[in-house]
Amino acid sequence: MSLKQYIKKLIRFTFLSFTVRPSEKIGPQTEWSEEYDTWEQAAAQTSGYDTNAILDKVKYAAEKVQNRESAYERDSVNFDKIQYAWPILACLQKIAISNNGHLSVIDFGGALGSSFYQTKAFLSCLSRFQWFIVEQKHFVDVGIDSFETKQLKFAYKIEDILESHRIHCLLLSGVLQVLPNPFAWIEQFLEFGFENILIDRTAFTEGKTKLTVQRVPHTIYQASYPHWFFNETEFISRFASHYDIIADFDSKADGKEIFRRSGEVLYWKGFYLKKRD
Amino acid sequence: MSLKANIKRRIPIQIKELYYRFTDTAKSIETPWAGNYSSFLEAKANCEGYQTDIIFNKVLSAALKVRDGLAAYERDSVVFEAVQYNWPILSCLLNGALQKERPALRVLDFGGAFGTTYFAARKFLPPEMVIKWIIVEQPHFVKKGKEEFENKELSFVYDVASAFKDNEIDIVLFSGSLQYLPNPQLFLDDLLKYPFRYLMFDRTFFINQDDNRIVVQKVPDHIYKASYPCHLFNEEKFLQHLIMLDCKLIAEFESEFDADSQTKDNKIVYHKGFYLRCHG
Repeated sequence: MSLKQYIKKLIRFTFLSFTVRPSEKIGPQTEWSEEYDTWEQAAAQTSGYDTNAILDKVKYAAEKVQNRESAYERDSVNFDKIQYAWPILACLQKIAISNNGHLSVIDFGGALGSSFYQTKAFLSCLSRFQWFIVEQKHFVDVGIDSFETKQLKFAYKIEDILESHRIHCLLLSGVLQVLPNPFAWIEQFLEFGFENILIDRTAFTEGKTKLTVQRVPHTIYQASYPHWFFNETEFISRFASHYDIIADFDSKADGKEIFRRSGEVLYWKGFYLKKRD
Repeated sequence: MSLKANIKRRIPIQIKELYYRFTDTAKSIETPWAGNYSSFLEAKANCEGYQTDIIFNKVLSAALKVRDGLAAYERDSVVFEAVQYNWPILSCLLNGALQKERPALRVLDFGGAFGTTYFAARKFLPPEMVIKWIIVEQPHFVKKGKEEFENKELSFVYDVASAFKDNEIDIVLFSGSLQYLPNPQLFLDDLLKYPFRYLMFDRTFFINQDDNRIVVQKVPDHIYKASYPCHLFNEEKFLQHLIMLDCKLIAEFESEFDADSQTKDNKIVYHKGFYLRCHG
């Protein structure tokens, strides 16, 4: 085997095992289908993101974190060590400093607190720290029932939180690409007028914005759901009228770049957006 | 980071070693690490260009470009058009500042050249944050640093004792500097006698073998022609020593800017950072 062939084989191997999906160490990779025209068409091919199977696995993993049997979970997979999302931590702390050491975050699509537990060790020194998760109803039901603390709260709607709390930051981590109508949601977020928006683990393509179906390997949880890849320029232009980009960053939890068979580059990244005065 | 770099950093060290052995890559790719010396002095005797004017002038010229707004950022004398934020370092600096009643940051940056980390971090850190950033460097850096780069936040001193003499320090930072000290362990022993709360290492060299190693590092020609004596640490021993000095590990991270490499005998050299709480 030539060196070149060997490298190719190695890349293919590592590609499958390490770069495609954050959570698994070895196993079948996440797959994305070809393009669909509408969410309905894509959804008809999937089990959906709202299955109880996902909730059960996430709950089981989150309970381990809650009971300190595991340091951290992401996408229902437990880890021995916290894998810090360093850019998010830096941005949240910067926001806290600019708000006299107070920080209230709405974590839209935050499951049962993955990002909360991931950042808590660095943020619990704040004089006031509150983390609100807005999720699908069955997640919120379980969240309120089993996971709420003084710092961590769950809500069905963003409006419910804004009625009684001042929020410093909206966190959108790996969520926009699995919403039926992400651009309509972005419009909504703009109307709420959050001072800061942190976007992380968001899926982009170098081509035009497209809708595919993602099949999650059964080692994580057996599921498939519609999944967007955004054109970065188009995506960021939706925020451009109201927000400045303070920083952008690679989403380390996910492979920075992966190539589909067609040669298309898919990548994951994040942004720190600040509302213009 | 390129796809290649991204894949490389995600491959477990054992697989990399097998790969290097199998393909005999070490013979075909030039390694920056030479020798396995019994003392730092011996390694130094095998170096060329240590502390030369050429290095100094290249670093100075890059730093001046950043100061004068002609470049956004420099590192190792290489200038960049955009700041490459070092997110773990920023997070830890902010965390150190947030532990106080009024967010303030007093950093001793050991080996911080003309302020590479300071100028990059300052662009991100909140403007209202009170910062005192003291760089301990070699005499010619300090002299020039005072002339060209000092401001109300940034200052230069000749040694650690001077930094602590007139200032309270919260965080001591070593960004790629500890491994170039003749005796890093002894240096840390002495440093930990001073009062400060956090210790941060970034871009520190580690080797995948049971013991530390003293080598000669050849700087890539595109940066500048030079070779230095340096230590490659065993990670476990490195941490054990710090824990023995009453430090507690808060977080560890991969150094964003450096790719792995290997020695001629196929040992992997990797770069990491650590954030520790000191004095209990």
